[in-house]
Amino acid sequence: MIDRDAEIEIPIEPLRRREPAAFAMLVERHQPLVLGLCQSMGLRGADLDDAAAEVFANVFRAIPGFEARSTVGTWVYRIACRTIGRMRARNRRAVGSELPSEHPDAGQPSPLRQSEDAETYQRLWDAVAELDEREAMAIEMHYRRDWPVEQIADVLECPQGTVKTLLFRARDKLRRKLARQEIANP
Amino acid sequence: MTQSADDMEFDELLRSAMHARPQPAPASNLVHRAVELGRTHAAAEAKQRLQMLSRLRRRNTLVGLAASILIAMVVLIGAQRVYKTGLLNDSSTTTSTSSDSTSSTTSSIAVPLGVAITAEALVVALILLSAGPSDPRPTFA
Repeated sequence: MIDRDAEIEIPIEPLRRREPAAFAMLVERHQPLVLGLCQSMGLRGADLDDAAAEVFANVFRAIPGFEARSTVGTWVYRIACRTIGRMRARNRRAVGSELPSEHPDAGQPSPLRQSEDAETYQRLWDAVAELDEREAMAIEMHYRRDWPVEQIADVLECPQGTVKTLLFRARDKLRRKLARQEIANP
Repeated sequence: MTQSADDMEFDELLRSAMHARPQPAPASNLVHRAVELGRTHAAAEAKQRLQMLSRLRRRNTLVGLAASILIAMVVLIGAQRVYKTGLLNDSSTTTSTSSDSTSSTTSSIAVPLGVAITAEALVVALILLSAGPSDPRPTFA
């Protein structure tokens, strides 16, 4: 099983005893992905914070029963996927607007190019938020976190072939959506 | 699965877009909120479970009571039928038509009925005892 962040070990016994320090470490360690998943599912502002709190509340409740059959990370992300999916279904709100914090290109692109990219990125992020639950999760894990298919399959509790299908469908939907938007707003 | 140049280009675009996406700022009190929420959920769940048990116990008591009444009715009807067929009449009642025989018949039916009702009362008491108190109403901090 692959856990890219396995270098920071969280002691399991203190976690099972719900020791505050161990739980704080777990939250600290796994909140970027949980927040990222919430974001990719179209949650914003207070909804995003609520969803993250709900995920870790469920983790807190379930900790004493953690059997260590998978890594802590995989187990947390499984809970996250289930919880965020429920929250998203319950509370679908309009996708907000945000701009990239920094441009990904190493060089200095022209302001025109930069603004074009920012617009394309924004469209893509919005389109990801409109994808099906599992497709959005697969995109978040594969393209943003660079996780291999094997690890995504472990978290989503499905065969690797299903993950590949999810990614393929998601890419196809995003591409078509982007093409339609480009035709509408050339 | 082979990818065309177009697919690979879109793959790269998607990857760079997702990498460029700003990470949402973490809530400062996320740990505290999660712990509080987790405890609230756990307490609510426990309360719900206890209420369900309490409802189940109350229902059992009612079912026990209804069953006891039914049993009592069946016993009474049975006793009446036995009495009507005259199976309980002893020799003294069949030989004479005097007022003595009537009184002896009454006494002979009164004993089995008394026994049946006492037994019935015992059954009811046992059922009610096995069901326990109807609603213990646990308290929560």
